[in-house]
Amino acid sequence: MTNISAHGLGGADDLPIPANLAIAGGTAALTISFAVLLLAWRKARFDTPSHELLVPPPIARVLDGPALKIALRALGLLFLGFMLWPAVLGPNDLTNPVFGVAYAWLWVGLVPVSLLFGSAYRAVNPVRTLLELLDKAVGRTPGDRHSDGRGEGLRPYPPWLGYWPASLGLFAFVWLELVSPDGTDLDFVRLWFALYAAAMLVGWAVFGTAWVSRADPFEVYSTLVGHLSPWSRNTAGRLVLVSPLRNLARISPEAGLVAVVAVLLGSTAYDSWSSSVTWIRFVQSNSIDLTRLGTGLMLLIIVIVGITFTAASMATGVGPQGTPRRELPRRLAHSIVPIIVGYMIAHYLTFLVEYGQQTLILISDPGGTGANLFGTADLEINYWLSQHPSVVASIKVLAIVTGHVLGVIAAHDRSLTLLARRHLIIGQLALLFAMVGYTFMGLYLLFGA
Amino acid sequence: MRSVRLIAVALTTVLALSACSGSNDESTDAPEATAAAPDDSGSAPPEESPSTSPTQSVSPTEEAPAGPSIEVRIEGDRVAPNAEELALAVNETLVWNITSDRAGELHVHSKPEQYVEFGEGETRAEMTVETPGSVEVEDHETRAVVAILEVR
Repeated sequence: MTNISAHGLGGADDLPIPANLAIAGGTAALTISFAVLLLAWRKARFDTPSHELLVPPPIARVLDGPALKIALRALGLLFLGFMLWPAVLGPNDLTNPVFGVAYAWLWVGLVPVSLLFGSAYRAVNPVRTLLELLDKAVGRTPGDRHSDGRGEGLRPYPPWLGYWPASLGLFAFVWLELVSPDGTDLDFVRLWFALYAAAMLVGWAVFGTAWVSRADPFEVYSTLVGHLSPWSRNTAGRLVLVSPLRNLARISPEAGLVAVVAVLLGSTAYDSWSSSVTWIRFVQSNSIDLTRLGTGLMLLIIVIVGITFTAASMATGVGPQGTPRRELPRRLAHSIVPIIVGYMIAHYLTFLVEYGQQTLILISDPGGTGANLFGTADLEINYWLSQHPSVVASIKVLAIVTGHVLGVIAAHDRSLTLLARRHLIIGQLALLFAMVGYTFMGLYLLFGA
Repeated sequence: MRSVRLIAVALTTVLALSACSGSNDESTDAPEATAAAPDDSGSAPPEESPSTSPTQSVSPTEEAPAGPSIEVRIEGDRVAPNAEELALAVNETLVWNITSDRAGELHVHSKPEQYVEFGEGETRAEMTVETPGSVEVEDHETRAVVAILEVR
């Protein structure tokens, strides 16, 4: 078996960013946000079903039509079927495309695709397709598209469960990629995906496909990021175009949403920190079990993000008529999504572009037999991004700054709906400071710790 | 005027935090020389490797200006140095001087990846890195990170 840890995939990391650049970026982000917040933005804009541009019916018919839906589903299923080949018969080393497909194409790739097209993974999710086919086979009415499953013989999906299963699934995946020593061991990765499929199947048996919408880590992640795309639906369910921030405000504030965003944000922070010289030296000069240490540290960071966010969003006065205090965190949690996207871009852009190309090369030879199925085996990786570090650095700072500015705007806009007028400024203080904290942790980690 | 005070508080925090991270930044550079193997009971400590700093100003030996080099010492599971940092220019030749009691391989996670093979005893190897980036170099068998090359 191979011994390279998963974040060693794809070769060199990007160079650390010069401190002054990051500080400039962070300061700009905060200054702009505060100015916008306190001076200009006095009315909630995004929590209304307005400012929608109806997609012209002929186009909507194609986009919403059965032909495209079936084609995308078939594509997803076909690709899964193909991936079983390298997963079962391929070599157990880094020439196997399974790793690149899982860590680069699927995990990182779903971010830009969802940003462009909305909940893209849902449209191709082969597990969902298989379970919906099973629904048909056993003659069960499939669960409702977006709300509770109400098919026959199904339990309604309990509201308290919300996104909690997805947060577990997401944790399991980031653990596999970033902590597990076997993240690049084919047997172990296969086992992980088998367990994932089993979890989807069991949940489906109880709750129907409503389970997939809230438990499938990839689909939930894609759905959250997809809320930063312009694609949405109006109250009548018709396809509309809206501004990304308006779309973001439409994330359904279910239980467990804070856990999901905490896992996504915390694991990215862990990834930066765990490749820092300080951490590597510390680990190597101690005889602690690395897996246990890594698991503990990642959990700790996630819990800290979750607790600081929860506490900060609850630290406000609430009127007797207002939103109950315990509802506040999940109603504000959507504001973390653009921050997550910013960090994902900052951390994984070169990985996606360059290891993504590597994967394209490898996928032509799924069995490790020297085949060139798609004619991509002889391509060479274009390292343009890595060869232009200042471009990468600028994109990183821009991504993080944009993410934070959007996050602060989203949180402020929601606060205008949630908080009574007299609590408005003081009530947002704690959350703003939590976000300042996240910015600085993020920028500090980008320096290269 | 609450808002003005708010902005002031926020900016102060910003400055305070950035000052912290700045000083941390410096302090991480300091322990470079003291990175050592888990314990050095008896056997030669790895620190005596002539600190491979990129500045090649003072070289009292007769040899012509020596380029960057890294001394690696491997005794079974014990690998030194502990994540030595080294600045390297693109396409600059880096010399590995490896002393090992077993054959093995260093994985250089550059783009593209490279491998430095070594045998029992002393091995000298040269390599260059053609793509900028922060490049981890690890001993394949123990997965120990011996060096992090900052290639610019």
